[in-house]
Amino acid sequence: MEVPYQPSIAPKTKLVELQATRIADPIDRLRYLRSKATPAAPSRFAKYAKHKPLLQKGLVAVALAVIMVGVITTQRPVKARTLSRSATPIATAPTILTPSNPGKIWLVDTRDTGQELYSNTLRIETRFAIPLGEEPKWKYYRFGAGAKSPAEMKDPVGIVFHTTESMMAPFEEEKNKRLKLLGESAIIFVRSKRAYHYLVDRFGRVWRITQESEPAFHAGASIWADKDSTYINLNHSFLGVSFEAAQSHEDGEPLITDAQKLSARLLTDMLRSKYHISEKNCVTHGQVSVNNDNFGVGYHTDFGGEFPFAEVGLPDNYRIPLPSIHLFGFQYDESYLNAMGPPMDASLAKAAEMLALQAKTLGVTPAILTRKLRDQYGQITQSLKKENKNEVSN
Amino acid sequence: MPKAEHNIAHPVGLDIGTSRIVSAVPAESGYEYRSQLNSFVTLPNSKMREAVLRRENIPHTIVGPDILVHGNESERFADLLQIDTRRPMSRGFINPSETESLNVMRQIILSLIGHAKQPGQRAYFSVPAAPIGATENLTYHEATLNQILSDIGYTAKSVNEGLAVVYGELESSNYTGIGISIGGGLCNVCLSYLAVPVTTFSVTKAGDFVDASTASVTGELANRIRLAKEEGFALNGANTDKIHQVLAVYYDDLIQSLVASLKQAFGDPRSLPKLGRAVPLVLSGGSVMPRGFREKFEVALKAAELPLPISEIRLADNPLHTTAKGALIAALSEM
Repeated sequence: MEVPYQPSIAPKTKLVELQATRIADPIDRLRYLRSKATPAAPSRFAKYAKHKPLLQKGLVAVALAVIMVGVITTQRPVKARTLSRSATPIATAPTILTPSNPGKIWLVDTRDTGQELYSNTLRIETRFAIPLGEEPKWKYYRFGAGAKSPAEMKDPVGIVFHTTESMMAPFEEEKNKRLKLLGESAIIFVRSKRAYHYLVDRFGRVWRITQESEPAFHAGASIWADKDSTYINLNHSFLGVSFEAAQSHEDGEPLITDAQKLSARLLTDMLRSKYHISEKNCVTHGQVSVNNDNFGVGYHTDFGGEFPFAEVGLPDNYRIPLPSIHLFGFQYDESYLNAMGPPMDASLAKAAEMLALQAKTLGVTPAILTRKLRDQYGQITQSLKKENKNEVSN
Repeated sequence: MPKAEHNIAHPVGLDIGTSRIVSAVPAESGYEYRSQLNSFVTLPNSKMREAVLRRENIPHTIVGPDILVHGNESERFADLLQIDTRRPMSRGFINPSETESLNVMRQIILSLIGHAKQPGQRAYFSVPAAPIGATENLTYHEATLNQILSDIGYTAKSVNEGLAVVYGELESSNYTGIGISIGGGLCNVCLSYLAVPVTTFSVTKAGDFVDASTASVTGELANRIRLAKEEGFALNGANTDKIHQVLAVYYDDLIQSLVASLKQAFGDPRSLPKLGRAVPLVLSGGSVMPRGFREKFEVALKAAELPLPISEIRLADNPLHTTAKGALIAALSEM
């Protein structure tokens, strides 16, 4: 029997375990725990490490010599059969694929006609963009692990996808004039509100509304997190990209057009390339929006469960457990479930599981932990409110 | 996820078992598994026979006057020709009595994962822990597998089989708990605390022991025993079939031996970390699959009154794939 480790070698503090429970991705969580573990007892190979290749070759050579004179044995293999799924914890299909990297995408040309051309064929219409310099310098910030005060960042770290919920016309050639008119109205409206950084109209044209270095008030009451940081009030950390679309679309019709999907892919790739944005930080407003008054998730439910992550070149981010639930004790209700649909089931179940695991780790009930987390969130938002007192809420 | 991204050389997890070799690779919706029997049969070489095998796309290797048919097809050929399959591994380790062990395992591994798609592609493979009360030397087994994988272009690293079970199944308890893999040759056990292995060991009674013992008592061929296991054998009902009755006896022996070993390993609270709470125990491997195995094991473990409190005893989500999945997770966590 091998007893290589004494109890004291294992990670010592509850803090490590607690922090681990807040990491949704099982691979990231294992990586974190292994990084925190005190180095293991020396491997039995350690002393031979320098000579390992030689050792291995030697061993194989000796083995070959031994088995050349061996006796042939005959045994039957044990044939396996399938077993129906037994009671197991909630499925935790991890997001394990190598993060997709859009590669380097650069600005090729700025035309006098008010258009930017990028190396991946993306074209951005700049005619309606709010000029630079109308707002004071904008702060991007994040919260590190366990931090209660924000740390400033240089660039945005994510993208929130929105729907304009504006008036729609059937996407048909005969309605071209009306489609153009409605698109322009939407641009004028969102521009007046500084509502987003970009708007993608139904023909797939990408309109810059607000400069990326300046604020767009697209997701005020909102929460997201990645493996390193938590983001509260995503106006200060994520770019806002909206699609001219309405959730109340006809059954059977896609929420956004094929042209919009194509542009979404090109724009997302460009922004990810420019700011090194993680694929897991590209999410919908429905995933990040919260109601600070009643601690409910999904004050806005943009896109419901219909955002075409795969077609935009992203993994199924609907599976990511909602940080608002497992980090700050928010809850969802029937109307959120109805609005978001089955794509969010795994996320919600996993978030609840993570909250329960944290409670278990701390030796408290989930209800007590929820209260504590909400208190923490309240303190953070109060201090942010003071700092951002002139900001438009959303 | 663009296709081009998906085709890059992902790491590979391998469960190198006595009965089967299972591979795991990342896939769009989780993991993708492939499996081959770790066995082969020998046929006399002839041009016509080789042509037929090639035409039928049956994995084989020519070795002098012989053709070795390996992997899943070996069992079919053994049945057709009324001969026994040969096994490259025995009781969890490379079979020192089998001259073709390395050659056949290399071919089987190649059929599962191919050559490395780029230099240094990672392949993490499972190795057993030392058997309890034995002085088995793992060095040769581990170094040989390392060499086979290195030869086909991989950067190979071993992971303890029990720990792989923990990595594959106990994410929801922060990789704290007991992982047990009961395969053909060995039962591998690992107690892990926050992903750190605290205790690992193996027990030399597993599926092959049950089959061989039952065969010797009933006078039946091992093949017949295996078929009987697959034809509705359960540990939670009254068995009227004689073979099933004997199988139940040896399964019971296996469970009692495993529980006794757990008691021996975890019996001294001073050697255990203070976990402060009960830990889950997960059972995996092909030998846990008869209905009622989990329940019977639970009864035996409760009776043993381990000083280590257990919160739940459950079967792995997919017992045949757990170890390979855990090895892959270990590889991914080091990227």
